[in-house]
Amino acid sequence: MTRLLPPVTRPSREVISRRHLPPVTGAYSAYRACLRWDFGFSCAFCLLHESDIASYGVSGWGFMHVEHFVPRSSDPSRINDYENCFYICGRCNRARGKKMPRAGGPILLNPCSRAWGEHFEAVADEIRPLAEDRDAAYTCDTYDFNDPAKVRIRRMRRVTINQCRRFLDRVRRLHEALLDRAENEGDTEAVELAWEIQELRRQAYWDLLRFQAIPPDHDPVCRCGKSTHLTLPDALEEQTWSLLS
Amino acid sequence: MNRQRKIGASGRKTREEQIRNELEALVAFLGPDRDLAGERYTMIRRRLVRLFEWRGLAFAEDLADETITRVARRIAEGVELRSVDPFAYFCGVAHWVSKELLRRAARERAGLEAPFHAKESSAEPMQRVPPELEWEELWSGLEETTFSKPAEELRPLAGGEGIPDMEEIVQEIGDIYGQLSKLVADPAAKEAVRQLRERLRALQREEAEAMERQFRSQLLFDPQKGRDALARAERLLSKQ
Repeated sequence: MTRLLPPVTRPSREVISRRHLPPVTGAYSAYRACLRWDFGFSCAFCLLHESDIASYGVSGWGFMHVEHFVPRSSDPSRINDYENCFYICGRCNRARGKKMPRAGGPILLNPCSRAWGEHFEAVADEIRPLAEDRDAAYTCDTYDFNDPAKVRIRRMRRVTINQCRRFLDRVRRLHEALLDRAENEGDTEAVELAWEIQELRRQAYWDLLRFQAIPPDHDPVCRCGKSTHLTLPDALEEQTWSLLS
Repeated sequence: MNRQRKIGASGRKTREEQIRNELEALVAFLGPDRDLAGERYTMIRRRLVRLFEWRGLAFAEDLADETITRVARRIAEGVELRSVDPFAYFCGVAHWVSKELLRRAARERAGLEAPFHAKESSAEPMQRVPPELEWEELWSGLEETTFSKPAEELRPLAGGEGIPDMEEIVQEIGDIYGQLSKLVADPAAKEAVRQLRERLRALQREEAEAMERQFRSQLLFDPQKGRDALARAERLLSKQ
């Protein structure tokens, strides 16, 4: 059953727990499949999903990157440490660069040791730090959670899903009634309108399918080699919904 | 004479081998197979040409080739690239290729105007790609060509309204912003960072609007049509 993304991904009240433990290799890029599943195909920091970004034709080198929480230049020994690798969108990665917190200042929050919901909230298509949380504000600023493009991308998902859902919810009963009328009374206007609505329903379904929580190009296997790990993290799974529900 | 020819031939052979090694290293870096590497090579070259053109430099294609050659040399030398996005690394090298060109042009101009000074300045070694960009040079080099231009001038320069072009601009400025923001203790850099942040935000807003247009153009469902159809259906069904 295809699960779809929520109109707005809320920061989870739970820490992201890593379920995958790939064998250490000489190249962190080999962890990509595990990272995709562990972080639910979403940026660990700004929560944008692959499906959000793919719609904009961003391709080529891959629009999602592997982030080293401790930058490679700061500690080369952790380059291939899975715990140090995060799934992250290209924009967050670029925004941070190699920035490291200054001693004595606010710290960068780690999504695998801090619950994002305890530090951030989703407000009007932005992921905002909670009031007076200096670490959250610093993290938000470092990864530029609310750069205008990210805000717009979140808005487009919210608006598109809500519009399509609202239409599909309202149209179901009317469509059935139109079909009944066409069948029982041979009303040609009802037949034509039913066809038109059928087409609109199809279009709305297709638009919603852009936002699949598990993208069609998901990895069917990962480095762990265990199929039981190929599920979404609970925090995202509980926010998803199905067209059949 | 014979000896000279031998040395020359051997030198050429060594250089040929070197070029072949560099090429192989570049291909391996760009992709797991030659087809993919070829595609990426073409894409990078095209973007580099556009970048040089955008900076108003003549012979953009030659400069793009020079940039790729330098990157290939670095890779063949075994340098580990820190850029997550390989194109960002090409951009960094391209920046320095254009800087060299501008510096050389300035020296030549100085040579024409003041030959004695020009002789002194020509002793300055040609700069290779440095490990870190130097913010003052970077700022002064790009301020004139990029930051001082209004956004509406940048867009056509970068090739129309397409997303990748705007993304390219924003990415480049974002990279420089990242470099500068590490130097905020320096008051001059602080002001530069402030200006650049404003500039970056303005471009990001434009980019966001272009992204929305692109996204909307891909959507199939028209909410207005949906509302009209629902209203008509309700009217029809209310008629007995």
